Amino acid sequence: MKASHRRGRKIGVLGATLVAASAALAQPGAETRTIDAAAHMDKATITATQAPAASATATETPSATPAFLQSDCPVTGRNHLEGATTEPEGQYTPTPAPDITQTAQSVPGTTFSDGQYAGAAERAGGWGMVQVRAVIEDGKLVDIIVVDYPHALSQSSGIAHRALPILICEALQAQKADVDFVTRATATSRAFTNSLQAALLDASTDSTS
Amino acid sequence: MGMPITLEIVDASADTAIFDEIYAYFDHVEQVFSPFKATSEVARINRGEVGLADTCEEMQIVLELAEQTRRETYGYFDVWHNGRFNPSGIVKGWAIDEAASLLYDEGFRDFYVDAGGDVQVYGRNGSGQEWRAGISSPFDISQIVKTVALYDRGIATSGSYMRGAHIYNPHDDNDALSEIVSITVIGPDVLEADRFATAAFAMGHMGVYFVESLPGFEAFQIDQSGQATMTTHFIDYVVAVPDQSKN
Repeated sequence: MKASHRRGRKIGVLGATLVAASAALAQPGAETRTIDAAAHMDKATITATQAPAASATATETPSATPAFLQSDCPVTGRNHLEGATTEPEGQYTPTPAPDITQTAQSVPGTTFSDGQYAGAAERAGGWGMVQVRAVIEDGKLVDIIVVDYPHALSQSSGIAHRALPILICEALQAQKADVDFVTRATATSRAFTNSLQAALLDASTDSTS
Repeated sequence: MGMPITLEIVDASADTAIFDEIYAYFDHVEQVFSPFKATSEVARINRGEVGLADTCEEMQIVLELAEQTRRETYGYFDVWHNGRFNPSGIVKGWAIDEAASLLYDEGFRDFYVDAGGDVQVYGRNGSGQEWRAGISSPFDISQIVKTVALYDRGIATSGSYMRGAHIYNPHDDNDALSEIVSITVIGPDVLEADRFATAAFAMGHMGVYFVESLPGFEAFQIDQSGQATMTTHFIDYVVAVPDQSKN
């Protein structure tokens, strides 16, 4: 038995709506643009690989490196120690990213001087630099240009061999949506946000109050 | 900051007043913490107009949380970059957590609070079931790639909008630091899930192993090739659904 109930659901967008590739909802009446990235995933069948957890056999622990980082086993179901490999079907091949140019909403409550402002190049994790340039017209943020993005992998050296637990790996597979809500990464990576923030800060301090 | 807020309350007593109250709270958080508002306290800190010790009580709490997280994540989570302060990686989860506490204190028991894809759930959905969260494909946000059922849990996803931008060789055994495109973390509350998701993403492909090492947290990590890796007990949350999406 289910008593009648009132269910409320309301979606609101507060503050600045910075539109990036994973589009956020826009303020009513405002224009947004979604970037369709070049990547498109093949609908590979699931190839789940599960193996018993390998025992940890590290014979030494380098001083500052956390234990879980001491491995060169990529997270693809391969285990160098056992010699087993798992190749996913329908190999996804990433394509080079085009220049990502986006149009953002004006940021309410702020005043910027017209011009273009480059944020500092920001380190993004361990894989490179991200730099964005903010374009201000009529005192508003109208464009964000990605000046630099990670396009080469950094190779580590001297990582000790260590057996990690074997985790389940599987190829992504689309499924029917029967959900109450969706979780996904927010619009921007942190490096992007930092670089843009720096650019906007330059733009705002340039403006006369 | 600057994200869509979705609030769903199942309790019969929910009315517009509580929705207004929660949205007003998030608006307040935006005013204080948005790195894109020249008038926010974050911007004022970065312009040197206010010292850290003189900031408001909420900023003090966030600073403390940030420092604690920095220690627990071996420095991978850090609100300071090149002298710039940006606590967005922890503010979102903290604010959702606060909003959920507000709702709980007001007597609501079946609801979820969603800010930008990070969510805290309590109780059950309108059908009397556990709240179902879909994990969006980072390659196509219109597609769901995993469905999980959550009860009094927080879920957060950290990821990058950079897609297809890296040289990747899935056949190269020496390619040890291939990067990931997203990691979803489930934990006891969204503040915890959020801060560890942020740190785990910064660790690249080793992020899932970091979450594996945390008792009570599970993760679903997706790399550039469309391969997913999950922690040992992530499967406990997974709901089996039909394979093919309608397209």
